[in-house]
Amino acid sequence: MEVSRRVFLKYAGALAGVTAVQGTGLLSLRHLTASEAEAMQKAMGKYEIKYTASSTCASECGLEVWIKDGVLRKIYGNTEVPMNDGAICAKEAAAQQLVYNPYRLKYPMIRVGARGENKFKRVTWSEAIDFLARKLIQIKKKYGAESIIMDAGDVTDRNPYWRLFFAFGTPHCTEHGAICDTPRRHGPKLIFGGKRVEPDLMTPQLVRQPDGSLKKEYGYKTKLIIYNGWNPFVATRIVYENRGTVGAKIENDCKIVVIDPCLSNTASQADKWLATRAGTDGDLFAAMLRYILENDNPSDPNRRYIDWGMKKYVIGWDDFMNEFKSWWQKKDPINGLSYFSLDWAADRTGLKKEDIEELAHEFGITKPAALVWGMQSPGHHYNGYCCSIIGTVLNVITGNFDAPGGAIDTELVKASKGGKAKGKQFLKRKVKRIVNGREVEGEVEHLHMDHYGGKHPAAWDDSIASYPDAFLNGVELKYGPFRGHRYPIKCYIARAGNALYTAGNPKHWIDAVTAKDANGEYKLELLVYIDTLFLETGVYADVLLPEAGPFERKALSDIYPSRPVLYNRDQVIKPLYESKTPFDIMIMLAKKLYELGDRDIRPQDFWEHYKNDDDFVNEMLAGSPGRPNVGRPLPYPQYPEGYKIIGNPESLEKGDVKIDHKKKLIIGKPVTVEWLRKNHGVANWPMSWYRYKKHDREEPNRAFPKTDSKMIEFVWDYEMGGKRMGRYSKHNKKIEESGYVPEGLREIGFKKFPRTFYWFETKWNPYTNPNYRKYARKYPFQVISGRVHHSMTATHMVPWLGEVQTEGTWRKMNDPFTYKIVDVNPGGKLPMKTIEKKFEKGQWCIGTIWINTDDASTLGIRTGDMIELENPLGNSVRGKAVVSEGIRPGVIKIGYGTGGRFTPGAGPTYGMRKKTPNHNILVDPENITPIMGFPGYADMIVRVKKL
Amino acid sequence: MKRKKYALVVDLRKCVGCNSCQVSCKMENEVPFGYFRNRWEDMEVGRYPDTKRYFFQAACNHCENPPCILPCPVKGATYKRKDGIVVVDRDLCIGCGRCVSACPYGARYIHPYIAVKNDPSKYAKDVPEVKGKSASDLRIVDKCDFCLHRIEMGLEPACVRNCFGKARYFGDLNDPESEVSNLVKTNTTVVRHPEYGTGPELLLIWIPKDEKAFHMAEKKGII
Repeated sequence: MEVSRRVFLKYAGALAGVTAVQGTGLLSLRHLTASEAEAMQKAMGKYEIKYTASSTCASECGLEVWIKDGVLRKIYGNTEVPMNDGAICAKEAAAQQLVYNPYRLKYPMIRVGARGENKFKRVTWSEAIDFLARKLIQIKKKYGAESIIMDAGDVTDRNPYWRLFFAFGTPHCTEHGAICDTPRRHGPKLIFGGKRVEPDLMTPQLVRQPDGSLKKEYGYKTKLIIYNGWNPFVATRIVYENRGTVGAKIENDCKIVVIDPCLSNTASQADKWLATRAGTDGDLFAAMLRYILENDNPSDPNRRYIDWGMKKYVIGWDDFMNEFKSWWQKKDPINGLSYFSLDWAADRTGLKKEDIEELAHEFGITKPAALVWGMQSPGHHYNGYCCSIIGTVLNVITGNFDAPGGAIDTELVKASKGGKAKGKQFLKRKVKRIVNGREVEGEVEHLHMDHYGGKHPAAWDDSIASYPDAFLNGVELKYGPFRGHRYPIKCYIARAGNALYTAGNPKHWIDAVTAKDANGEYKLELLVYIDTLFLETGVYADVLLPEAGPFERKALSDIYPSRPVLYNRDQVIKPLYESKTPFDIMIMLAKKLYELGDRDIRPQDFWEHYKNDDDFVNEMLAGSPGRPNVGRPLPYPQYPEGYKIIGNPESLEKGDVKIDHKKKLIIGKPVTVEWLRKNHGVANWPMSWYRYKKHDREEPNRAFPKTDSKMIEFVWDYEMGGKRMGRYSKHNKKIEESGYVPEGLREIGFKKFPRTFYWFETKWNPYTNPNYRKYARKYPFQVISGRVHHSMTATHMVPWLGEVQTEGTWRKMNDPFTYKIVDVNPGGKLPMKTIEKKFEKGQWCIGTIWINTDDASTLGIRTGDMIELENPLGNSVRGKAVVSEGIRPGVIKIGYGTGGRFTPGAGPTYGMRKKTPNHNILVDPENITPIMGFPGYADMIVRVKKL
Repeated sequence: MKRKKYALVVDLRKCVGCNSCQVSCKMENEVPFGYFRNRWEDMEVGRYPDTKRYFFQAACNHCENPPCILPCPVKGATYKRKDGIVVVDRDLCIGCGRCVSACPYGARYIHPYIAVKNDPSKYAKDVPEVKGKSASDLRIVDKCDFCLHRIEMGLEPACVRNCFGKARYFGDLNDPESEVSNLVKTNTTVVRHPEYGTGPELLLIWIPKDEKAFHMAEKKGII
C-alpha cells in the first residue's frame, strides 16, 4: 500500500518496530499506523535509532544516530540533551569519515625497528597482551609499579584503564585535562573548588515552577558577556556558547565583547573586538578590578559596581583586597607605572585607556553579566593563574556568580560520575619501600611524582609537561612518608592522547623517549600506544593496541552544563577491524597479569565484579548526580535542603526515595545504562541559581561551593575552628614539614603557596616581563596558537573537515597533490569507500600562518608565500602566510596542532607536512608553569623570514 | 488545506561559522569531496582594527522561474514541485549536465558516483551530450532538495536540524503563523542576485548581518 505524500506530511513520525523519530517542531508528529509505517520503511529502509555521546570531540555533544544493518548512516544532535539541543557542528556531522577510515589503527602491532622508524609487525591480541603483561610485571618487580604512567586521554573512557593501573599499584593515572588548560581552571578551583566558569546560556533550562511542576524554559537573561582569550565558536567544548552567544545577542540584546589579538570567529559576531597584545589577559582583568574597587559607589546608580551583599558568602575578602591594593603602591619596572592602573594596563595590553575604562565600567553596571576567560590564552600562559583568579573574583564581587544570566562554575553543578569504577580506592593500599636504607610504609598515593615530588605538588591535574624530564632523570620524592625515595619512570602508556605531538615541544619529547642508557637500552623501557588512530606517539611506541572508535565503545558524557545532566555514550555499532573496547582491554590485561602471578590484581575487582561493560558504566553512575539540593528555586522542595541528591530524575520526581538524615543523602533509584536507554539516552535534573545561598534567606547554605569552608574562599591557607583549611593549605603543610620549597615556586620567588592574591609575570613577553625586553627588536612577533576544533590531530584524515575553512589558520591553500582519502559510497554496504584523490590547488585546508597586513607588507609577504618563523631558542617552523587585517600587528597565530604532522596516520595532512607549521616546535620546553606544571604553550616570540 | 510553500530562512546574524550546514548536508545526502549542495563561505573586509568578517552560506534558491528546468531534455527529470521545491528525478535524469550549466547560482553538480538509470539512447538524437553513451557511463545531477526524504517524514532538512547557531529555519511561507513567515515579516531579508530574474520568489532567504556586505559578497562571487 502506498501512502500519499500528504499523509506523510500530516502524520509522519515513526519507523515501525523501532524508536520514534522525535519531533522537531516542524510539524505535529504521531506514530504511524502499521500500513503507513510499512510504506515508510519501503521508502527509507529500516533504521534503528540510538542515542550516544560524541567521542570524536571534547565537546561531547549528545547524539541521535540512525543505524541500518549495523552501519552508521545518519548523525544528528539529540534533542533532549541541552548541551547541544539537537544540533551538532561540522566535526560530528563528518564522523562517519572517521569511523570508516583507512588510516585507523586496525590491529595490534609490536615494534621491530628503532623507535620512530615506523617499523612494526602485526601480532594477535594474545601476543600483544602477553608481551605487554610480561613487560609490566618485569618493570614492577625491578623498579616498583610507580615507574609506570598510564596517560589515559579523555575522561570517561579512561576509567577502565585507571582502575586497572591503580590496582596494579601505580599512582600515575592521568588524563588529557593535564595538557588542556590547568592555569585557566586555577582561580575557580581555589575560590569555589570548581573549574570552568561559563555564562548561563544553556537552554532549555529545566526549572521547578511554583506549582511544583518542572518546565523547560527557553530564552536568555544575560546582558553582557566578555570573552577574554576565548573563542567558543572555533575552540568549542562548551557547545551552548555557540547558539547561546548569538541567541542572547539577537533575542535579548546582550552585548558581546571579545578580547583577542585576532578577529576570531567569535569576535566577528561580537559587538566589540578588543585586540590586545598577546599574554596580557590578566593585566586587563587586574585593571578592571582596580577600576571597580576605586570607582564603586553604592549610592550612585551609575557606579554601583560591587554587590556588597556578596561579602556574607565570602571568606577572606579583606585579605584579598588588601593584598591586591598593596600592589598599587609599587611601580612596574617595565613601564614605571603603578600596578593595575588604567595607564599601566594600557601600556601593557596595547589597548586604549578609555577602552579599558569603558570595559570595566560596563562590566560593573551591567547585570546579569559573565566574564569568561579561555583555554588558549590565560590557560596557556605561564602566569595564567593570576588571570583566572582575578576573573573569578570579578564575577563574584559584581554579584554575577551563579546569578540567573550570570556566570556559572559548571564543574560544581555538573552531575558527578565515575565513583568506584575508576579505582581511586586502590591508592589507599599500603606499600613499603626502602628509602635511604630504611623500610618505610605508606600508601600508593604517597608515591605520586607531582603531589609528593619536588616540582609541582599542587598539580592536582598532574603535570604531563614534566614527563620527559622524568623519563630522562627519574623522580625524587620530597614530601610525605616516602620523602627521599628515588625511582625511574620506565613505562609510559599513551591511551587516546598524542603527547609526542601535543604535550609540549615534540623535539623534547622525542629526545626523551629515544634516550638510551650506557648499555644502549632505551631509558624509557616501554612505550605503549592505545588508540583508534595512528598518531605521532604511536610511531615511537613498542606495542600498539587498536581501541574501539567513536560509536563503538561505551561510557558516559563528560560535559560542562549549567545543571546536572548526564547521557550515555552508548556503543551503537560494533568495534571495527580488530579494535577492542577499553573495558575488554582492561579485562584481558587484568587476567593476563593475574595469570602471570601479580596478586595486586584480584578477580573480584575485575572479571568477577563486572559481567559486562554495562555493569561497569552502572557503577560509574551509582552516585549520580551527587549534587546538593540547593539554590533558587530549590530543585526538590519536597526534600531537605542541602542534602546530596542521588538517583534518576524519575524516581526523585515520584518520591521513590530514601532519606538518610545522618549522611544527608536523598537516595532515589539509581541512574543506569538501561534507564538512560529508555529515556532518550539522557538524565536531566532541575536547574537552580544562587546555589550558595539558602533558598529562602540571604544566608550561606554551607553546602555549596566545594571548598573546605563551603563558602566562597578568597584565602587559600587559613585557620577556622582550630583547623587549617584552604586549597593550598595541605601543600604548604608538606613544605613546612620537609623544608623543601618546590622548584616551581622557587622560579617565581615564592617560598610557599600564597594565602591570597598573588601576581607574577609571564615568560617570553618583552612587553610585560623585563627579563625578555632585550629580545623585542630581534624577535618582533609574539606567536600564539588557538584550537581549531575540527582540525585537531585526530581529525586530519577526515576529508569533509578539510573543506571547512576557519579564520586565518586553516585555509584551502594546498598545492596540487594526490592522496588516499575516504569518500561517500552511495548504494554501498558501508557509507564510505577509499579512493585516490587528486587534489587541485586550493581544495584542501592546511594549517597556515596568520599575519597582519602591515607587518606582511613590510616584510614583502603575500598570502600563500612560504615563510619561516624562528624563535630565540633556534627552533623554526615553516608554512604559508595568510595576510589579513583581522590580526593585531606584531602577533602571529598558528592553529594548534594543524600542521607539521609526523605520522602517516594523519592522512593528506601528513602529505602537506613540509608546507605546514607545527606550533609546538616553537614552545620552550623549560617553560613549565610554576604552580601546576603546565606547558607554557602561548609564551613565545619569533622573527619572520620570507622563503 | 492551502498548498504549502516551503522556504529556508537563514539568519546570518546567528551563524557561528561552524559549517555544520555544509557537512550535515554532505552526510545526509552523500555528497562527495569537492562538491556541494550547500556551501559555507566567509569574507573579511575593512582595515585593522575595524575589520569585520562575514559568514555566508549558499544553496539552491528554489527559484520561482528556475532557469535550470527549461534546458532539460527529459520531461520531468527536473521540475518544481507544487510546494516550491525544485527537484531532480534520479530515475529520469540522463546526466547531460545542461541544467548544471544553466543555473547561474552554481547550485547543481554531476554526482561522480551515482550512475544514470534512464536509458540515454532514447534521447541521443536531440542530446549530443549523451550520444553513444550508456546509462552506466553517465552520472546523475544532484542539488539541494531541502532533504525531501526528511520532509516527507515530517522532519526538517538536516542542515536545519544540526545548525549549531540555531540560525536556520524551515517551514511553510503560506502559513502566516509559521516561524519562517514571522521571520520574513519582522526582519530585513535578502535573496541572491534578484537581477537574474529567476524570482520574484526565491525560497532560500537570508537575514543579513549587514546588507551591504551581503551585496559585496555577491559582487565578489563569494555567493
